[in-house]
Order: sequence, then structure tokens, then C-alpha cells
Amino acid sequence: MSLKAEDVSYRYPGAGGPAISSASLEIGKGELVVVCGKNGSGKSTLIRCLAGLIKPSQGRVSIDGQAPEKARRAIGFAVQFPERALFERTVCDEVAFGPRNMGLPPDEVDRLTGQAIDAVGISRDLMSVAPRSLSYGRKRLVAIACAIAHRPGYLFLDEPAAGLDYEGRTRITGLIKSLKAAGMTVIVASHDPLDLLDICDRLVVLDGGRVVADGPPSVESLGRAGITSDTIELARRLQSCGINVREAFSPEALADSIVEALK
Amino acid sequence: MIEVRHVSLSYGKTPALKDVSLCVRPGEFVAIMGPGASGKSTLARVMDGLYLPDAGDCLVDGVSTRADPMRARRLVGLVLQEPDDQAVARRVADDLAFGPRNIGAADIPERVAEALLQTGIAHLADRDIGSLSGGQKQLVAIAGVLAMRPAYLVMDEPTSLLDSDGKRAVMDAVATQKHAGRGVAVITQDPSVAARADRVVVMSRGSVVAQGPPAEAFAKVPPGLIGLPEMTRLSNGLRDRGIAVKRLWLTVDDAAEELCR
Ligand SMILES: Nc1ncnc2c1ncn2[C@@H]1O[C@H](COP(=O)(O)OP(=O)(O)O)[C@@H](O)[C@H]1O
Ligand SMILES: Nc1ncnc2c1ncn2[C@@H]1O[C@H](COP(=O)(O)OP(=O)(O)O)[C@@H](O)[C@H]1O
Ligand SMILES: [Mg+2]
Ligand SMILES: [Mg+2]
Repeated sequence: MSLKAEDVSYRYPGAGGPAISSASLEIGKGELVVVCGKNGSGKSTLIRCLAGLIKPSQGRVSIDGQAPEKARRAIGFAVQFPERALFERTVCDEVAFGPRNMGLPPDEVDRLTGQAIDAVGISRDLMSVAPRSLSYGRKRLVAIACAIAHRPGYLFLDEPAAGLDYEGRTRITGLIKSLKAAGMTVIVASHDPLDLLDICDRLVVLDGGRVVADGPPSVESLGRAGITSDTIELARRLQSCGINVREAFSPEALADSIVEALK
Repeated sequence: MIEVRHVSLSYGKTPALKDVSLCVRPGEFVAIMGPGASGKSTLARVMDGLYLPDAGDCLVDGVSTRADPMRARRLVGLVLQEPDDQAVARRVADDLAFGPRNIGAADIPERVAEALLQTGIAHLADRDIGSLSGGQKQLVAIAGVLAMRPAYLVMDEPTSLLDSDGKRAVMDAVATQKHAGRGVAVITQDPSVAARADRVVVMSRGSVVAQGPPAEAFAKVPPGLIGLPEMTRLSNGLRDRGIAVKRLWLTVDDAAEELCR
């Protein structure tokens, strides 16, 4: 069981060049994959192709052996700007939309809706509130609840933490961790993946629509995405002055490594 | 100087600002941080004269925004949080020329070129704004305000959608403004942006809860309210692990200096 992209290219109608060129990857069940790269490198386009929201101009995508159009129930997708994706009168109707649309019986719809709302950590008191009246961070959580309500095997999140405050970002990271722990395959597009590096299995780096790195996160692959950080920079400086620290992405991981090295 | 003095403001029954005071001096870079709904965007609109306070006052170069809101709007350039709110023309270069033309500026092409250069988007000059990504629109909105050459610049979460290149362009633009003697206030969730400010103001529920040079503000702020710079997290982390650290770190240099001794 896996998601496969073979030699996928995508060109927007009327655009000069392709937004994605010959991308091939395979994502196994239960993996947490972060797709990163600079603005315009093709992250959103690639994950929309993988999820079957747009059809590749060339190449093919298969989900558990099926074409994405035939695997709708296996896929959940939360778009980057939640305010453009919320239409219903109440949070409850919004989250129930997917399961209802699949023709599930009402008590099953209620059960799935409640579970999805609990999973993202929104208070059930907010179920009767209009989604558009919520804060940006809560809208994002509602959009994710919508994407997971029908219990898809594959969840796609486009820039889930962009524009959120500290609490919102922390929540999203925790949520991704728990969805992964529950066995969901999660594919995140992010231009700023630092918060996810300690928990992700793989980092796919795009540059100009091409996959230029695919593997466990490393300083080198981050470099290809144009990403560096104070923690990475300091680890390098410490190594060059004889303190033997490991490669670390979060300051907390580096602190552990410094303690070890100083022993 | 922009002086916010004991400002309170409510939307109907929702209080958004409660007795807020702060200032932005010419040549100074002030970062404003705080969780969502703490009143940051409302404060930005008060500084720009777009909103008048219910109580207290906001003075721009000594004149109250109440007495002359249009003067404040001219002196203070405001970059809104939602870049879609700001675009007025289809083509990027036309959008940037719109403001300067409106105030009868003589050197419109120079202003447009300078603003494009400062934000690193010269290659987008002829693009249709509708076809741009969120991050690119954010840079266009900033360039549009820079083209007005305001005495003060207030930017509301300008780097939230930007990659590292875009962020660098914005920080370079901030430095250029600062060196030209203009005051800059940047509302941000990004601690690495705030770490480079002269002063950090932290808001929570409509009030200022910490204010001072970055190291001082980050040391005073209640835990979990805002993100901290990576090197601050590291110095805190080492302390928690029983390693003596002399002071709170902000930069890689701070950390390397103490650790490589
Ligand atoms: N609707 C569209 N029409 C034309 N070009 C587009 C459209 N959406 C994106 N593009 C272009 O495709 C490329 C990849 O965009 P995108 O996948 O959104 O990148 P990312 O998500 O990495 O920022 C960019 O050059 C962008 O300008
Ligand atoms: N136009 C508005 N009408 C009613 N309430 C508003 C409006 N704008 C903001 N608020 C409320 O004012 C408070 C402060 O909002 P805002 O200044 O946008 O905070 P921040 O920018 O820190 O997220 C919040 O409770 C918000 O819901
Ligand atoms: Mg994108
Ligand atoms: Mg705001």
C-alpha cells in the first residue's frame, strides 16, 4: 500500500514553463513526508497532483494501486488559506460535509464529525458557531478537521502553520505528530519546515519544479531548499572549535548534544 | 516620533486595546509580538491614523491623529496583514505607481524602481498581481508602501508567507529604512525577525506585557506566549540541563562566544 508518482509533470494553462518537471516518488503507509522548497518551487502544485486535485500533464499518480479519482475516500486535503474553503453555517455542518457527501448514515456522520473535532483539539462548544467568525488559527484547525473527518489514509496539508501564532504552530505540530501516531500517512508542503524536522521521516526538496533531494532531513538537503537556521550554523561553528556535537535541527536537540559533548 | 499614549479601543463590546503606550523613534526598529487577537493589527491602524482611539492619544511628530488623521496617514506607511486588501491595479508596476501618482510625486519611475529593488521583486514588475503567489503579493504590498517614502513604516506580519530569500529582502529593506532615519515597526510572529529589533514590545489580550531591548523582553515574557529565538531557546535549554550560561543568547555569535571559550 503506497502512493506512487511516476515521472509527473504539470504545466498551468498559459504558463511559460512547467511548474513540476518529471517528479517521481513513492510514499509508504504511515510515513510523514515534508515537501519543502522556496516560494514558487512547486510544492502546492506537486501535492495537488499527488492528491488528484489536478491531473498531471504527463506521467501518472497511483494511490494504493488506483488512480486518485478512484481513491477519493483515501484522501484528505487541507488547503493553504482556510478562509477560502469554509462555506457552511456551523462548524459542525462544515466538518460533517465530507462524511455526509459520502452518503454515510446520520449517526455515523455525527460520530465521525465529533471525533474529527476532538482530534484537532477544538472545543465541542464551538460546533454551533459560524466557521467564518473564528480566528485564523481555529479556521485552520476546522479545515484540517474537515480533511480528516472521513478518516482518509492519506492526509495532505498545504502550509499548515503559515500565518499562525506560537500557540497555533505548537498545536499544529502536536496534531501532525498524533495523526502520524494514529497511522495516517501525512504529506505536508511547507516553506518553513524547521518545526517538523525532528518528527518527519522524509524531506522532499523541490527547486524549480524538480525533486532535488529526497531522504531523511539533513543539513545538505535543507541547504538545497535554501533553508538554514541559527541552530545549524552554531553546530557547524562548535564542530570547528573542537566541540563534537551531532547534526541537530532544533535548539533542544542541540542542547542535548552539547551536554553529551562537554561530558 | 510615533507616540502611542495610554490608548484604549473597543469594537462594540470587544476591547481590543487597553491602556497601550509605546513609541517608535526616527531611525528605530521596533518589533511587536503577541498571540492572535492580542490587538496588534488594531494598534497598527491606530499608529497610521486609520482608527482613532476611544481613550488616550496617538501623536505623529507631535500632532495628534485626532487633530489631523490625514497627516498621520501620509507620514506613516502601513502594510496590511492581508496583501489582497492592498492591491489597487492589475500590473505590479502600475500598482506601485498608484500611490506616488496620487500624491503628485514628480519622480514616479524612480520610486517604483527603488521599491522593486529594495524588495527584490524587479523581475515581477510586469506580472499580473492575480497570478502571483501569496508570498509574492506580500512583497508587492511592501513595495507599494515603500514607493510612498513614508517617514515611518508599520508592517503587519510582512514575512508570514515568505521563504528565506523573501524574508532576507524584507529585513534588508528594514535596515535601509532605519539607516535613512525612518522609524520602522514590524508586527511579527517570527522571533528571528524580532531578535534584530532595537526594541521588542510583547502584547497579550490588548495590553503590553513586556517591552525592552530583545534580550530583556524575551527574558521577561510569560512562557509559552510567543516563540523565542533559537539561540534563546538554546541558552534556556542548557540552563535546564544544568550547564551554567552567563546570559540569555540572541545570536549565533552570543552562543559561540560563550561555548567556544
Ligand atoms: N494558477 C496558476 N496559474 C499559473 N501559474 C501558476 C498557478 N499557480 C502556481 N503557478 C506557478 O507555478 C509555479 C509553482 O507554484 P506553486 O506550486 O504554488 O509553488 P509553491 O507552493 O512552492 O510556492 C510558480 O512559478 C507559480 O507562479
Ligand atoms: N473589525 C473588527 N470588528 C470586530 N472585532 C474586531 C475587528 N478587528 C479585530 N477585532 C477583535 O479585536 C481583537 C484584536 O484583534 P486584532 O487587532 O486583529 O489582533 P491581532 O492582530 O493581535 O491578532 C480581537 O478580539 C478581534 O477579534
Ligand atoms: Mg504553496
Ligand atoms: Mg493581526
